[in-house]
Amino acid sequence: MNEVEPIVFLVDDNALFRRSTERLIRTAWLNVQAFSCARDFLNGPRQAGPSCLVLDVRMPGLSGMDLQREATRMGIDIPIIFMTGHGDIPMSVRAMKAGAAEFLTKPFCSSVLLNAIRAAIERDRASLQKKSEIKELRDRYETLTPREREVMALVAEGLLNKEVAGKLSTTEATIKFHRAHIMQKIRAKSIADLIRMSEKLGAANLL
Amino acid sequence: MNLPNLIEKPLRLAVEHAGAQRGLLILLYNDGPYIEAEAKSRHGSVEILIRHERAKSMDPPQSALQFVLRTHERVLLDDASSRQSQSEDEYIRHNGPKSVLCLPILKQTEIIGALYLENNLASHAFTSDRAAVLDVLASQAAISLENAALLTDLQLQVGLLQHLPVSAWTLKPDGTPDFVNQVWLEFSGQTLDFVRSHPEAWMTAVHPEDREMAAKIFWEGVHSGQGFAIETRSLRAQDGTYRWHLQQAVVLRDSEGKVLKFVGTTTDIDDQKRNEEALRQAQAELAHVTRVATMGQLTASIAHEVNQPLGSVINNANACLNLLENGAPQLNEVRDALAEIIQGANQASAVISRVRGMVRKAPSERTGLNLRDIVTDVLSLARHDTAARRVAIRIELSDDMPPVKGDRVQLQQVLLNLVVNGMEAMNATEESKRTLTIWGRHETRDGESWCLLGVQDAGTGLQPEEMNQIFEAFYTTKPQGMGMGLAISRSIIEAHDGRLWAEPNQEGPGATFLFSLPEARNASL
Repeated sequence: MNEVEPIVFLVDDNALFRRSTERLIRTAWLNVQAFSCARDFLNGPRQAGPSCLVLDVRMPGLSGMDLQREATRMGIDIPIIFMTGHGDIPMSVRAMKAGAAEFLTKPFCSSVLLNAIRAAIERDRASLQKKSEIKELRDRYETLTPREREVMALVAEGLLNKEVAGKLSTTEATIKFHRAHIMQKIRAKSIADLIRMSEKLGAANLL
Repeated sequence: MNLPNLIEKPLRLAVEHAGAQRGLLILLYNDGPYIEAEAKSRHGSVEILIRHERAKSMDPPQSALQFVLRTHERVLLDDASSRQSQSEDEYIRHNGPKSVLCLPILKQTEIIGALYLENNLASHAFTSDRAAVLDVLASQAAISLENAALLTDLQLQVGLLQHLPVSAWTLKPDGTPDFVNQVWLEFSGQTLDFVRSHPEAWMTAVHPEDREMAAKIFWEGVHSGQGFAIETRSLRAQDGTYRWHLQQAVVLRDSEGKVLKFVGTTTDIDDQKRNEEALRQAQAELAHVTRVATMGQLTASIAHEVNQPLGSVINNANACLNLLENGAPQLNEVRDALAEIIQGANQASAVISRVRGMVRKAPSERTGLNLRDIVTDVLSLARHDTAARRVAIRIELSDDMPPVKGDRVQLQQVLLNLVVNGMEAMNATEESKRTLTIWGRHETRDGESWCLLGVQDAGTGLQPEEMNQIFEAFYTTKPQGMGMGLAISRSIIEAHDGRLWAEPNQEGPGATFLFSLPEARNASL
């Protein structure tokens, strides 16, 4: 897979701190795009590759927590690393509950931020990968006819061809025929493979 | 010379001169005649008894005395016991004096007493010739008695002057002391001659550090003829300790306005000074405590103000390391990072020193300053708190704000207190309406020039009865409040000759806290 370069989004209203963080990330061979307010970030373009958001908690206008809420509402699902000048526990608990990847108190060790960024990007990469796999699987699944989907569900439950035929009131030969088609269309190498795919689709609520 | 002597002498003379056996000196007081002294002649010598007791109906003969007191004329009875008219007198009936003479003692036309003489052995003992001499003696006695009274008064006054709890003195027009009472001489151990020797002689008892100031005020007051008031530490001879004294002088002039004298007092104000000092210290202590408490409410903000630039320093330093490790470093980038490291470090240290300034127990120091700078100082500390509380700050400082004279830290404390209060008052206010306006302008009131500063919130406002209550110590509307902030703020502003008060907002909800300070003259900014 030809992946798009990962990118770090940075939102902090303090110019001095923002520039230094931007420089730190850039000199660690990571792409970075900085914003001075949450609104600019939300209005900016998204990208397909893995990314993460490094976010100051307290900002005039839309705060970091506001941005987190707003991003969730808008379906922007990227890991968020929060930074605060004065980390208070209730706030970090709220942020973590709302899905924050990390909560750092300024001043922090540069390696802690960089490690957190790398971990967040890895996580986003994995999540993107999973999403794209599921999407592919789903695309293939959608090429199945309604009858083939019924057969696939019963086979995935571990029923024998004869039992499937009985349930669907048809012959065993017909089921065999459907199965061959299903395996080919969904690109399953074995029955075990088919069962795994079915589980993935089930987990993603696509069945 | 004393009063008894002055009474004794004329009485003795009268008795001896008249050849009387008994004599009484009677003085008239508001509540009637008193026998001041009694003389008795026995075996050729005269005994005097100082009595000062009310004249009784029996003694001396009332008829004679009353006649004299009423008519201011003398009564001479050659043979008292034989006379029908006088025998009704109880005294004469009982004691049977043969010759009686009673003389008025007159001061000008006023009767002040009487001289009574009697002889029990011989009739016709007192002749008119003798009586005439005795008249002179009586008027002499009157003068003596009058002088004696004056002298007593004077002695009382001088004694009072000498032993007043304050030192009293007079200066000649050129500033040389002429009269100095005992109190100062005893305190300083100086002699009257020494004090009179030179106008500044008394200052040898003044603390060396106070001398120059004392001499300056002294001579200004003497030369201008305005008098003076000088506070000095002066040395007590008795134990070699310095005590605070207040020297005050007023001028006495003749009808043409020429200076006759300066009249003054020196008062020991040491206890008072110490109390004032203790009070001042207690107030400073309290101000410090509330200042620290106010700063405590801003810890989040202050931490942020320090950590922000520190964080940027660390980031930039690590970025530099990254750049150097990357081989062929981009020197421009390294230079930018280093410049920002310096900037960040300076920012952090500026915040620290500002906080230290606020929490330090510094002695009060008055300098010329601009309230505009105080606003900047305070907002740099509270800025982050305002953001966290979602409060918008509006600054409206007009260009004509005059400079004031004051203690920077204390004035910062007052404004910080008003800003924090204003923000807290808006906790329940809708976020979009949380605006704190800090305005300042020049104002002329009572012919004086003032700098006026207001902190206006859009909070819950104040009940009319709260307008003054809130400035009382321990009054608080906050669960965590000490109730000292505004009380201290008001005492700080009043110590700066200013005024601090609250007003409801004219338009819209909330309140405005204002303080005014007099314009500083000759302020070096």
